[in-house]
This record gives sequence, structure tokens and C-alpha cells, in this order.
Amino acid sequence: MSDITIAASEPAFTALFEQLRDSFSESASDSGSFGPFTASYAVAFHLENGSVDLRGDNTVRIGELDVVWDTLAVSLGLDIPSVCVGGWCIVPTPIGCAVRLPRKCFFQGNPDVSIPLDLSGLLRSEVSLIAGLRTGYFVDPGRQSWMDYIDAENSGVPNKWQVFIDPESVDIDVFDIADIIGDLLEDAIDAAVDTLLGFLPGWARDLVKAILGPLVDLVRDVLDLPDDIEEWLSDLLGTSLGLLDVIVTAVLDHFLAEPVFEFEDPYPILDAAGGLIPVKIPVADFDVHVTDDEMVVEANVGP
Amino acid sequence: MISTSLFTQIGLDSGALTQLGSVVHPVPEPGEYRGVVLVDEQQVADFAFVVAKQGRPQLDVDVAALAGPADDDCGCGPRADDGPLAAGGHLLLHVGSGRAAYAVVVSAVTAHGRSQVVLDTRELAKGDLFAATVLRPGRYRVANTVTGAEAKLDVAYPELGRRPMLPGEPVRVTVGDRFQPDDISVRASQGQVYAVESGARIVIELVEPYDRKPRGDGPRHRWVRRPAGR
Repeated sequence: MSDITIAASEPAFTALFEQLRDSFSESASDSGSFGPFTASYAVAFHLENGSVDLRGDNTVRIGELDVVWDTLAVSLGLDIPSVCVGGWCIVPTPIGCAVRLPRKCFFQGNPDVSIPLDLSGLLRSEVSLIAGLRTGYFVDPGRQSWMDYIDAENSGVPNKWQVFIDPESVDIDVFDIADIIGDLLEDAIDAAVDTLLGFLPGWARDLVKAILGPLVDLVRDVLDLPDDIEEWLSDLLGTSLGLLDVIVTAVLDHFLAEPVFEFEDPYPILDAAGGLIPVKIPVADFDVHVTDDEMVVEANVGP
Repeated sequence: MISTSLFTQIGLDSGALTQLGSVVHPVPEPGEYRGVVLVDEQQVADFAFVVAKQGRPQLDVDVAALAGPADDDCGCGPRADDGPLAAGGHLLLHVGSGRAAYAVVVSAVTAHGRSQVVLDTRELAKGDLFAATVLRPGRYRVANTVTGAEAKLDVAYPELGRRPMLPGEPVRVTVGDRFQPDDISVRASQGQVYAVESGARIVIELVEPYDRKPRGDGPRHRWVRRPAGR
């Protein structure tokens, strides 16, 4: 039988979890080269919602935790094929071309065009996880060796017992991208090429575009886009660029580093008053477990 | 990087070659030949080539590269290791880059070091070809300034289609006392080959540019409140 037992109901644990959830935010960026094109992203995201289920097997299930994208900027970079005129036969003969005109090209090399896509608000992702609870003892690095527990409290650097959510498995739903992404991509392609050719007069831009053909088809060919652009982009972001790993790692790191619950050691019973020092009891044998409907913290007065 | 110079060459002149206008000259006789490149009647470069019974059917000379900074490795002029041009083959004079306009005079070197002019791009002769590509949509006047003959040239505005635009086969026109045909229609970037029947300097001048109609030029609908009492 422990000296101290503290129980938090599922709603109380949910409130603790929500504080932990709301303190999470992450930003990241990366890029990759995929043969004929490059892609990069810059993201910032936080977590919202999520259901908490305390389970009798000493685990907690957190489901439907929404990844909310404050920023999700994706950029696709690709080469526009050179556009040339000439090259036609000036003097044809029955056995072939006797004289052929040299080709003249509008582009020197294949110019890069960058297609920016702002997917903020167009993409949904969800995280769910099953976790145990783990205890830890925290010694504040700001606490000096000469401090006793009263000095440490007065300096705001007391030792603490902590409870962490310790994920055993994390699942992340594949990205659910709104189907307007196809239209968005078409507009972005047109805008990118217009920017590339922007200094040319209108007729010259139209000539280059006419020779290139429908730009969306051209970009589709370069990117090797399937009909299902949403799935392609989801794979690109999630798997090829590793954004799924970024999300999982960030969530794991946050839960492993930030306690869901903590209290001071020694634990204050009475505040300092009337010239007397505060009354505190040392806590030992700190443990935590979960039942179907409670988080239970047990400890002994010690050492 | 985009080569803007191509878009600035609106008119063409067989006697002042630019990037979109080239001259082809058949060379039937074996021998040694020398060429002189002129800009504004001033010599800026020269070159030489050999015509033999056996050789290559086409010899390209980029006159802009010849006239550019001296560079033995530019690969722009006829080189000894290119081999000779075959008798009956064609010399092709073109401008690879830049905005300058060039004239070229080619002479055959005869016995005793004398020379005989066989080509002067300022006045092409029978058998010569002028290969022209016009990019700027519009209505043009084509003139042979030697004979005064004229023709109309219509260069259609490029339309964005479901497939990449192909310029189509080049249009072939004979030039002498008159143009045949004298009413020419092409797509932007479609080739034109002017085959010279008698002395000619072919000048293509823009008369009326075609531009895309700005949005908002369509019919407008206006609602007007009726006067009171009617």
C-alpha cells in the first residue's frame, strides 16, 4: 500500500493532455531531386482535437489528433524544354534532304521554372497513437550544487517527478488533399511560365506557349503525373520528401520530452508563514499506471 | 536564359542577314573559294573553303561567329578537317547569334590568284535561295528591291491548341520579275524558301502587326433604368 495515491479521471487526464497538445508546434523544410524535377517544402504545423481513451491494459489511446498546417508551401522545379525554330529542309531531294537550316533556339539551355503551391488549408492529416505512461525525475539544470530544496524552490528550480506519455506506436493517416489541387496546379503552371516569359511581348509569349503546347500536359509529362494528382502529391510529400517521418518524429519528440503531469519533490504541504519555513515531504517510489477510467499515481513518503 | 534577339528581328533582308534569314548558294564547280563578311559595308571577317568532286553536301558558315572575337576553337567557320564541299553541294550562310546584319561576298579563286565573285548576298542570282523565318505575327510586304516586284505575306497569330504547334512544311516562293505566289500565308515560325530566278534582294517588312485582343473587348451589356413615367 503506497503512502500517496493520486487519481485523475479520464476527463481530467484529457485536460492534462490538451495542455501538452497545445504546447506543440513544429516547422521544417526540405528538398529533394527526383530525376527530371526537384521538389521542396516549407511547413509549420500544430495539433488540434484528438480523443483520449484510458485502457485497462495500462495504455492510453489518443486518436484523431489533427495535424493543422499553418504553412504548407510546396515548390516544384523543372526544366522547360528548349523552344526552337528552323531545322527544316531547304532543299529536299527524292533521297532525302540536301540542305537543312540550322535550328535557332529561344532558350539557352533548358530554363528552370519554379511552380509554387500553397497547400495550407487544402491538406488534412491525422495522427493517432497508443502509449504507456512513464515516470521520470527531473533535476533542473539551473539548480546549483550548493542549493538545498528551499533555495531551489525560492529560485524556481525545484526537482520534479514527472509523468510522460510514452508512445508505443504512432499511426499517421496518409494525406487527404482537396481535389481542387488539379486546378491549383494548372493555375500555378500558367503563372510560373508567364513569370519566366514575362518580359517578352504578348505575341512572343503566345508563340513560345503555342510551340510548347498545353503547359499542363508538358508539366504532366515531366513530372510523370498520373491522373490522380492528389495521390501523387500525397506520395511525394509523405514518402519521397519524408514529411510523414517529420511529423511522426516531431510528435514523438514532443511527447517524450514534455511531461503530461509533474509535481515538485519534496512536495509542498504548507507554505512558509509566520517566519517558519515551508513544510514539504520527500516523495519516493513514484509510479504511474492506467486503468479503464483513471490515471493513478502512487508514491511513498521517503526516503 | 532566353535569347531575346530572336524576338527583335521583325523584318528580314537577304542582303543584310540576321538570325532568321539565311542564304543558300549552290556551288557547282570544284576549286578554292574565299568569302568576305561585311557589316555596314565594312569587312569584319573572311573565310575560305574548298570544293572538290567528292565531299560533304552542305557547308554551314556562321558569319556572326566568324565576325566575333577571334577564337580558333569556335568551330564556326569552314575548317580544314571538315573536308571539302562536294561540287554541286550547297554553301549555307547563317547568323548564329547577335543582332548585327551581315552581307557576304564569295569569290572563286582562279588561276594566277585572281578571283571571280560567285555570290553577293546583296544581290542574289539565279539558283540562290533565301530561307526566312518570321516570328512576329502580322501583315508584311515582301519586295525584290532589284526588280521592284512585291508580294503580300500574312503571318497568322499563334493559337494555343491541344497539341504543340507545328509550323508545317516551308512555303516555297519563286522570285524574279515577280513573286510566285504573290500572296503568301504562313504560321508564325513557319519557314519560307525564296528561290531566286533572276537578280534579287528580298526584303520583308512589317506593315501591320497582329496582337492578341485584350480581354474585355467583347460586347458589353448595360442595363439602364427607364425614365420615370414611361
